[in-house]
Amino acid sequence: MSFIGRIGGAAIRRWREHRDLIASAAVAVALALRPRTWRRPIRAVLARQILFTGVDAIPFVAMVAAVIGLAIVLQTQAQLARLGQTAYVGPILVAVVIREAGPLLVNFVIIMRSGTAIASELSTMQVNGEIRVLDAQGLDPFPYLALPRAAGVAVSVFCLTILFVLVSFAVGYAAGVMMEAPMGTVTMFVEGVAKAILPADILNVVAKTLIPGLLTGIICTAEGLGVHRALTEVPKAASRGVVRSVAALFFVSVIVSLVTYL
Amino acid sequence: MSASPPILRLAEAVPADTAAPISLDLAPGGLAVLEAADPAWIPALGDLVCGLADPAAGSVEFEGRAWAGAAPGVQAAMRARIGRVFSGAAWISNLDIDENVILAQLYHTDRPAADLHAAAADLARRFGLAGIPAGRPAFAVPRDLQAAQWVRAWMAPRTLFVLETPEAGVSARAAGLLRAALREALAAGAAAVWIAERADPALEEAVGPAVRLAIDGPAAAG
Repeated sequence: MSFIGRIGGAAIRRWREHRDLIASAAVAVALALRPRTWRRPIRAVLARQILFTGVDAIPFVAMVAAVIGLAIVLQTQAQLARLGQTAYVGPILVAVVIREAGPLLVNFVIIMRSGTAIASELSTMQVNGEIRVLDAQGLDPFPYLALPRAAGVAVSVFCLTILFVLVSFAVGYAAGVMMEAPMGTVTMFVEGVAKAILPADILNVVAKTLIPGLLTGIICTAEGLGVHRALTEVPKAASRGVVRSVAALFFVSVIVSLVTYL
Repeated sequence: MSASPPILRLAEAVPADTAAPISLDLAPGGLAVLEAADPAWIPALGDLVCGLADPAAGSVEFEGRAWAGAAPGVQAAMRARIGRVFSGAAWISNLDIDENVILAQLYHTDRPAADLHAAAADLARRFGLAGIPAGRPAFAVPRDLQAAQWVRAWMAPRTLFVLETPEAGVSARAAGLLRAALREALAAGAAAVWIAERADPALEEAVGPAVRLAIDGPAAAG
């Protein structure tokens, strides 16, 4: 095949990957909106996914949020206070932590922590013939395996991002007070941040958490189910799942920022 | 009035790995014994009957409906009426055995979980177990796992049973319990496909008349 042909072939493969991903996400959303989809085993998988992805990740996400709180909230507050520009504390924190850092970092943590786990688990099930066992019993693998994982990841990313924002602000403020930085009262701090939050910011957080979370679940499930019969495919599936999820995260984050703020 | 279609119809169906086309009509109460020359064909034949693998040629119909072309949701509902004993991988490894046994019923029915657990325990005793083995499948004794597969297959009223080497690794007494349960199911109007490398010649004595097909050579028909 010619060089141009190879480039064209790769472009077509990429396009098909993206098309399949969008189609799968659309099917997942459509299925999720039908109450009949949520049969008992699917609800059980959803609950387990939220436990593993959301609840179990709380300590680590809180730790990352605390570090960000120390690094960004404290610095912003302290520096702006020195310049006499404390009126900008709220807008800057909202722009940095709520709009960008929170959703991005939480998505990263979840991709590394749960995306790899989903792809590895499902690819191992595929290699061991367990997907066939489900199918043979009339349990459609997409609603039973992909949907609750994608929904669980999306819900977990959203909730963990709220937690991230609260912890980073609380730790940043508390550290500032302990270090005797000019932080103002708690009420002033909270009011400053709250007044800076616009409706677009809420839409931004919802979009930057639910959409990449859903895509992470779909991508990692698809990569896991896409293996054939060899155990050596398992780590490759996990790796591909992470790379594609991170790419989707960046793409969605940029698009949402452009749509929300321009 | 038109006659109702057979429960299972294989019309010149060619499993991907074998050259011989298979033709078979299985009515309520019917039993077909497929003796596969190559043990690797056993799960492939089960998949063919259950519509998980498309035939290389010909067609497979279940209750008058071809698997090919049926929507995934329809296929899932059709498979809910098939009780299957697998010859290879048979369990979801990250679920306990009792969860595996009732999983499909939780999915397809509204029966309360407690009822399903009780029904599974009753069936387990019927098949010679003290109860459903506890824990993950990886830690269970193979003969108990095999009997637990029978429990799972019998957990709901079935139209068709697909039994792949169902007596592998079990005692003659336990095999007798399976045959008795199968005889009852056939008498109640189900059909069954028994797939093995070599099926016991005495199977028909215990269960009833059967069509035997050797899956190894030229066209097999029954």
